[in-house]
Amino acid sequence: MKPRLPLQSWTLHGMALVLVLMLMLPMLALIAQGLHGDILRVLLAPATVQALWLSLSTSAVALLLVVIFGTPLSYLLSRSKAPFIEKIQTLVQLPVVLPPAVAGVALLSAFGQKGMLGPALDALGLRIVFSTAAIVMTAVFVAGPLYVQGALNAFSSIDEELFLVARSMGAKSLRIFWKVALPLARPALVSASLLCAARALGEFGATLMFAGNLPGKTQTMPLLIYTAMESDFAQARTLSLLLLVLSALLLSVSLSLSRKWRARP
Amino acid sequence: MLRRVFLLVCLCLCGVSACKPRPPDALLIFAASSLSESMTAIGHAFEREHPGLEVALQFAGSQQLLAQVEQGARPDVFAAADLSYVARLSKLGLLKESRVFAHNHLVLVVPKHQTLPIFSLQDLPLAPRIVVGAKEVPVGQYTGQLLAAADRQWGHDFQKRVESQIVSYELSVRQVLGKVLLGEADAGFVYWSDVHGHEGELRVIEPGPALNVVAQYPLLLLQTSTQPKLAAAFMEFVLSPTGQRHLAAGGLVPPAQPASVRRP
Repeated sequence: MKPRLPLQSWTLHGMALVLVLMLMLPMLALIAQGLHGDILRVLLAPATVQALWLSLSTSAVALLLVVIFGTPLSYLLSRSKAPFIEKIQTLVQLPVVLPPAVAGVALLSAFGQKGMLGPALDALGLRIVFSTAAIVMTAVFVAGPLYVQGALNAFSSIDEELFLVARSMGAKSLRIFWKVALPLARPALVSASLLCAARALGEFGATLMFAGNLPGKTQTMPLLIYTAMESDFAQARTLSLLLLVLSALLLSVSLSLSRKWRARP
Repeated sequence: MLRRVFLLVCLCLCGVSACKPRPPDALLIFAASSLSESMTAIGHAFEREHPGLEVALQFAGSQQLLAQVEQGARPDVFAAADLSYVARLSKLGLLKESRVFAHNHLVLVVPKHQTLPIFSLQDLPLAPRIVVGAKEVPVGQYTGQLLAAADRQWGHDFQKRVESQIVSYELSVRQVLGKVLLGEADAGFVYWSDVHGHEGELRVIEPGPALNVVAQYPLLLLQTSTQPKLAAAFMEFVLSPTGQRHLAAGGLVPPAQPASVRRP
């Protein structure tokens, strides 16, 4: 054990406390003010149920797509020895740090009427903007990279020797992926997918720009909260509390899984 | 260690400078987003008439601005897009005086190169993708009134047929305009003043005086203003010929008689 100076310890604790307060106060205030007599009426209102269902179902579909396509991608990225592979890894993860407004403009530029693929999609009779599909696409775009990031780390931390052994025993690459990499990484993949789901559930800015705001079709929970803010702040607070609880659940399961995985023998 | 303390001090200074009080010779004006261009011009003109004075303007949806006032923001004057804000500010006990300073009205806008045959309000149900303001914001309320009036006049479930084609309820009039300009929406209701500067990209359809609702914009002088005399002078200036000229340039219509709406 290293000797500690009281002054240093005080400084560290003081600085840590500043951030803890900044992070905890808003959430505590939300809990304190969001819990009021009307909570059940707000939570059981048709608009809430509708928005919650839309949020959960679109996030689930987005997550499914991300896992199906993102798992092979992350595996390949982790195994590849190609030049510039780190640059490619960075690019694939970029959307997760993009400002929501940038994500919204980017999605409109790609799939909007005046966007790059707009005319082609129109010819096929497809209009993405204002559709429920637009919510799923936004979620894949902004939350998918979180899964890729987690999966990439998981695959990268698998002992290289296991792959060598598997190959020496004559296993082909698809079989190695299926029988060696996937089972070993599974807990970390589940953890990453929960994190991705939490991010998808909370997506707001880009959704508002790309999918619009129509109850039952594109009004997800965050959009309902934003709309409620215009008329009834108490309602917005209660709805926010609901999302806070959901996010907390997803995050805690995700973190406990990833802790367990990191402590694996 | 020294470097850390230095960093901490820097952080604190940033925090302090972020909340330094306004200079004494400054007016803080909150204005509805549909007033962006004209109020900016009026602010500059007022500054020229009062050397040394600074007019700080903040634009957002009227509803958002009111929410900020409810949370403790204290502008000197609040220029709202709807007359209901007179009562709402007075309910907060913050209203000193209010005057209607401009009128506006709704128009239907369609992208210029739209192939759908929409040339009058009655054609609106032909548009498969209509975007309107949410009922929580003034533009959405006016739109609802307009559609209800059209429904009474024409029948045949006009309002229902239009509403079934609505694809998004936006939370500010500028977002409605944006969706139409982008070509994502086939039609949308915006204020006449919002069309300014986009005449080349839009087909503007007047609903006609029989159906239309006139949006009245009140100037609200707050009880808490630290500069009540200057604030009152600013309100006079907005109503003066110079102010009205700037408003007209922004597409707003001067009130026929600058009616004074007193606090109840």
